[in-house]
Amino acid sequence: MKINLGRSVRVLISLYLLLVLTSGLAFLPFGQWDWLISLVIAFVMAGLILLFFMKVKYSEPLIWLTSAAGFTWLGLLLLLVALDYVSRTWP
Amino acid sequence: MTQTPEARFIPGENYLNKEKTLASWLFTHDHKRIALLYLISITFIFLIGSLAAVLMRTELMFPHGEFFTSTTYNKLFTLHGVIMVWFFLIPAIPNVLGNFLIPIMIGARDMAFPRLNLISWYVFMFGGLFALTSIILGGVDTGWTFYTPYSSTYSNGWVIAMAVGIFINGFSSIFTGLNFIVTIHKLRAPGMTWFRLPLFVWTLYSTSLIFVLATPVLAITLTLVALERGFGIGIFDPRIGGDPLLFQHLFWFYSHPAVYIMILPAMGVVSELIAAFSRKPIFGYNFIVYASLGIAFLGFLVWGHHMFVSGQSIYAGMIFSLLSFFVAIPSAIKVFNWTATLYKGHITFEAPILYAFSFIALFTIGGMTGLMLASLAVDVHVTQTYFIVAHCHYIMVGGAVMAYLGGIHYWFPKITGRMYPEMLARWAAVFLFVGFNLAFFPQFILGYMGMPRRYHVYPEEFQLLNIISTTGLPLLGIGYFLPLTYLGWSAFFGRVAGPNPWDAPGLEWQIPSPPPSENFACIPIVTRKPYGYDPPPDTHEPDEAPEEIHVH
Amino acid sequence: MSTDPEASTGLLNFPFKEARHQRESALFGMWIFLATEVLFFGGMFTAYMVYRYSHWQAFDEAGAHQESYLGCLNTAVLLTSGFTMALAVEFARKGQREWLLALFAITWLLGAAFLGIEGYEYHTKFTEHLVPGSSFHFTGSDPSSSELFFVLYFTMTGIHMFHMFVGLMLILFFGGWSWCSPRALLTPNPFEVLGLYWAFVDIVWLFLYPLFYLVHPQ
Repeated sequence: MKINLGRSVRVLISLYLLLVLTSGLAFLPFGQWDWLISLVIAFVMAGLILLFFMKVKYSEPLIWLTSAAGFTWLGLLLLLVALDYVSRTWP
Repeated sequence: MTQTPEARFIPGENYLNKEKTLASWLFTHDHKRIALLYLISITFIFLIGSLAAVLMRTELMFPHGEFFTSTTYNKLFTLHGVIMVWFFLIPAIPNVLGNFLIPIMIGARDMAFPRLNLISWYVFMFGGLFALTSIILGGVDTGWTFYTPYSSTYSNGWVIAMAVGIFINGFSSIFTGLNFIVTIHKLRAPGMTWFRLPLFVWTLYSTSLIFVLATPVLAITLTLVALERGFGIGIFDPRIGGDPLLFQHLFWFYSHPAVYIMILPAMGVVSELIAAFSRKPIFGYNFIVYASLGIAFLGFLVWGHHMFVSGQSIYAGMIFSLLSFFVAIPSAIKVFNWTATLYKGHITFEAPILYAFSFIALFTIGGMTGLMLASLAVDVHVTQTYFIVAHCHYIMVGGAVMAYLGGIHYWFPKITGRMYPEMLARWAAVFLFVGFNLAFFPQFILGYMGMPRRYHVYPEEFQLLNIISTTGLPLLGIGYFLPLTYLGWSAFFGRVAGPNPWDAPGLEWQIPSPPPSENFACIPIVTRKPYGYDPPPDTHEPDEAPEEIHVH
Repeated sequence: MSTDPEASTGLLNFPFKEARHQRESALFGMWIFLATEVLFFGGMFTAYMVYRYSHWQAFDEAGAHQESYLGCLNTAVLLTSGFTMALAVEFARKGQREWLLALFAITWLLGAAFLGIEGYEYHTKFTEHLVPGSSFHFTGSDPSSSELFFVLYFTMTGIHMFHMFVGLMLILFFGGWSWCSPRALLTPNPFEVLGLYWAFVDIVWLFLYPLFYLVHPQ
């Protein structure tokens, strides 16, 4: 098994580029949605690290599932708590 | 029946007599010994938690606060809740029966990570030490629920010490859950497919999913409370824009699934007991599997039903109420399947099945009252009253503790190689059932009539029911004391049981009692479904020709 | 000595009988632990979500006081350390000790640099009276809610720093072990597990960065 240095370097460069992108976009006036854009980019960056540096892409499906499970459960927590706070001001 | 001393001798080497030094127990990697370490610890812990309950119920016989100040009473119910939830109920079935049985039931020699297993016991004890320190220093009066801002700002109790103890205990849960999940995925014997696993393993797998996904949120929540308390600035402090209700969201995100941690293993035990004592395969095996996984998943979506009147939005309340109705469905499916298993079975009435019957009856009552609480309108009336106390004790004591005791009795011959005295055990089960109902059924009525929970001073019209409730305690005491003594005695002097006193199928009954250290001489090859009883004469032949399990 | 851990028997822990089986189980166990860490940090992200939503403007104003360029630099440092750690693990699996140690050293230095920059930021906050507590002083539309921003900032980055610190200790430990014992690389599993941990701590920061450094009034 040889070490795929090229792939790791390409991932790192992509990460740097995404970092510049998210930092730069923060200065543009997107109003209420700037948090969403920066979070989407953060997810993409995290995805690159998960897939390539943590090698989820080359792992068994069980690992795919496990890596997704934590984030999914956090999503459930965030979703239902958000539901409470957002709906407090409804009639 | 007298036996010669030789007849009480169990020949051969097993996990108990292999090495007998204290060090060989304290540094063991054997999952079976670790299970016994947990058994001894949680038995002591149960006694401490019960003592708090006895003191509380004695106080509650009188309406005007006879023996304790309010602060002391608050400390007693906090101690009772913290000890019983985190240091008894959550570890009981998983860490005693689960640790002992899972590797054997899947055909493995041990857990995937035996050293992590031992570490989890030490972590458990270390957490207990912090909790004990908190108690000795004066205790905590916040209730086991640690609501802010009382716990984070105003309480004068030893909150941080207790929070640290529970935090550490949480790691024990996480390590246990992790170990179980990896073991069940990776160490099953050849031929032991997922759908040939005993239901006990399935429910412990579901429980382990909850262990690893819910417990960390408790950890961070307690950390935040401790930080707020220690540094004086807070995440839950309204003075700087914080929301005390956020604590409740985070706390109950863990604590509701926690109750499923307490009940799912109990359901697994009951599935095993019902099949064994009906001498029939469990009815609807697949449904029970999916129901277990369903309970584990749905249990994460209902936590807001603890907060209907706390200030969350009414819309969130409605969603959580609806989801809480859904989560009752898989539990009901299980109860129906158990009942269907009993139908036309060859039922005998040994102690384990008596505990299983208790479970079904009391869990059904507890579950039905849970549905009542899931409806917003009823909950508004009975929340924070004794109705809630009765509901949760029906599930946790009437359900989980009964199942735990049933499992202990059922697998006692496997664990010790000896039998317990059957008549005494049956009497103990009866005492427990009667005592429990006497103690807790009046509390439904008290709650409905309006007596608040966590109060030791109450209007005089409630006194009669309180006295009736307290009279259940001596019966419960006898019911707990009896097994403590006869099981302890039988472990050393009981009649030799042999490998399979119940004539049950299942890998654990194919190996000697007590098992050898590495469980199997050779890893078995599994070729048939679980609960492989011969069908009763008036039913048709099974599809799979029953082949022998090859254990050699 | 074969350097391919798939083929060698390596050093097997009971009850495993095959290296591949043990490796899969070890990695699976670590991924489960990482899922618990996601939920551990997740509680704090929930708090952030709730309070940002409730105090949008106060958080914007507080965020303007952050040194975004330092946060950006720190993120680049951490990303690079993730790269060097991933390579280090590859070399560990191939049994190449010298490369492993070199990359461990670089990773460690990058991690230490991260902590240093973060420490400098904390110091700046202290001098600007932005540390929550009695010395906090802030001029804005809702100073106490802005204080909440900093409560979250210090708590979340503080706990992240603690995880980084543990990671640095582990790099020293495993680096030291493979330095002293040439046979350490017969069991590369611990190195892979450490690599997963380090990458995970990296990922947490990738979410902390936009939430704390890319927040400012429009």
